[in-house]
Amino acid sequence: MEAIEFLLQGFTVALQPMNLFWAFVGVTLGTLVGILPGIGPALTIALLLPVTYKLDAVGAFVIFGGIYYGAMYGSSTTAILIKTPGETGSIVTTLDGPAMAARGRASAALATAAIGSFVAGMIGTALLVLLAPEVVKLALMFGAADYFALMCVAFVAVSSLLGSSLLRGLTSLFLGLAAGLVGIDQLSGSARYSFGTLELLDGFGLIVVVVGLFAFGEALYLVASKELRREEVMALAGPARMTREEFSRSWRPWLRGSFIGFPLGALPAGGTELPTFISYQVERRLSANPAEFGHGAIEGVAGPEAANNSAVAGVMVPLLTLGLPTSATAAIMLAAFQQYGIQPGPLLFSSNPELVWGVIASLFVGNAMLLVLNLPLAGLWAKLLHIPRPMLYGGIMLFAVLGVYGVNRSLFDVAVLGAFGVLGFLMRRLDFPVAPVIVGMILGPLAEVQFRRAIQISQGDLSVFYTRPIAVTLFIVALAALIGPTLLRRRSQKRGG
Amino acid sequence: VRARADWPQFAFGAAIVLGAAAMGLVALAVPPRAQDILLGPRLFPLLVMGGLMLLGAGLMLAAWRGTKARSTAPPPPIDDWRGVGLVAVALLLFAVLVETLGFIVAEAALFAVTASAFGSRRRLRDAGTGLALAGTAYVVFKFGLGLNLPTGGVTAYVLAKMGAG
Repeated sequence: MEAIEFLLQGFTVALQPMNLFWAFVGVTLGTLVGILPGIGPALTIALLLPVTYKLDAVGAFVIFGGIYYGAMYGSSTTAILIKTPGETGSIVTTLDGPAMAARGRASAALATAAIGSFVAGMIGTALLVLLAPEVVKLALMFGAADYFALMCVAFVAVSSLLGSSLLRGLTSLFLGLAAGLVGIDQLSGSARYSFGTLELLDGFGLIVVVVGLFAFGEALYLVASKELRREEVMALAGPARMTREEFSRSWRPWLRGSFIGFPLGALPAGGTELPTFISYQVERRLSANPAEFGHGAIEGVAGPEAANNSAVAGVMVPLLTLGLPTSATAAIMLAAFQQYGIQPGPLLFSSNPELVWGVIASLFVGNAMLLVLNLPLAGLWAKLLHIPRPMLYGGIMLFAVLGVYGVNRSLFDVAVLGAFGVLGFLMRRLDFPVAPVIVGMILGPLAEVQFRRAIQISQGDLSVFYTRPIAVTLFIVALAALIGPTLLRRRSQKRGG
Repeated sequence: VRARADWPQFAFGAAIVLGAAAMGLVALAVPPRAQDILLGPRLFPLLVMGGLMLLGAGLMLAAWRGTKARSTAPPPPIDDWRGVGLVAVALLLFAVLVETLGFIVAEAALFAVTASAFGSRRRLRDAGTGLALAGTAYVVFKFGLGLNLPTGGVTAYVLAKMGAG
């Protein structure tokens, strides 16, 4: 199999001492920001962009991959011990994890989450290895119109699957698309929405927007209600481990979670949140004792925690093979690729195989490191939860503003940061998902270029969008994703009421 | 049962409609070149702003009817406006201080005010922690990464004194 061959070559890159070191840096940082509430992989990678710019691309993406995987490990610790999801992928874990901890089984909950994450990370990455070359073959047939259709699928999926309603998701997406319009239009060179200012000619800085929405906006949101700031850390002594019985209850959910998470992550279905909900439902339905769910069922931790890790591996498929980000973190990684002048997509696999396969191989390496970091050292990581909240959020704000101001020394950037912070605060208060804003802002300009290029190639003939079989299929998928969930919701409401 | 209208969402929707309408007019105000009547740089702005106006109107309608379709529990009520104000002040203070007193002082102030917004009472310790963190960040960024951060009059004076002493 050629994929295996490429992967072996990837390992020769990933196992170089420097890249091993960067993988270790990435997974450690990822676990850290996963555990710390209020700071996630998207914000961390954005803040690291100016720093990693000094590294070669392989090193930088080895770090980013490690952060993304590590955050999924770390967030379970927070979900289990303080009933607050470290990241959105661990929301479901707050149902049964803390209940297990309350029964004194915190170490078992952490163990099943860590081992489940490991199993899922390995399975997910293996599926990535097998699937990516196939998607590349398909993607090589894509024309501009097909890419535009594909991006429409991603837009619809991100807005209909994240958040509580399609209307809210689409509003978030369109706010992001609007933010992405600012600056010089790539095809015509004319300035849009710059209002004669030099600062806006380059558009809103990605770091500025991400920090505004995810750091400042989040700080405003959390400080507003005392209830959101409660801190009760449950006791945990020593390493994470579980009994034989708990293990035998866990391994099937791990495997099921892995195979639920990967395809949903790989489809443009909006990252890690949805697969965890589905995994939880599946485990409850299959359980001999569904009444235990919500009161500390280990399957309710094992399945979703596996699902979120394999979903991350799945997210890498469209990102690497198509240049299509389906989560906020992936969108920022795409921007990072652009910073290096690299365009992820099918051609990247032939033009820069050592980068692609080196990064994929390092995901295996990082995953193994994460198991070691998170099983025996679980107790050590849990101590991080005792950092007083005032220090934690003061520190997050300090580093966030450093990341924004340090790059350009621009007070204008600080003002934009403030504006997006207020927007983020309003959106969180009014229950709008924030991730589609980032995806829209990054993907919007790319979609526009593909759209206009398609029309240029066809010399103004709009039929390219409905005569090419790939484009038509993708538009139908987008339409189905647009109205499908709403129809399903209506039906279940009718049945329920 | 008729649900109560959701005024905050109504206002948010209205703001989106108005903002998008204004931005749509801005896009229309740029005269298109002959060759790009259909395709030029104004097509996407107009599509996006039109979409936003529809979505904003949809939000207003849903808010008016009280059908919010929230699946998650709404966030707990805001009961700490002082904290919200302080976090905002922290950022403003940074913007004011960074070019006068310098990066380290501004970052330390940002840290201390944010900490106090989140309920810390130990002002002196916070200021000290902030100074230590900001100083470390300054050294790492300036000398490790070669990023040029404003030292600021006071800090430069102190550093010069220390260097001289």
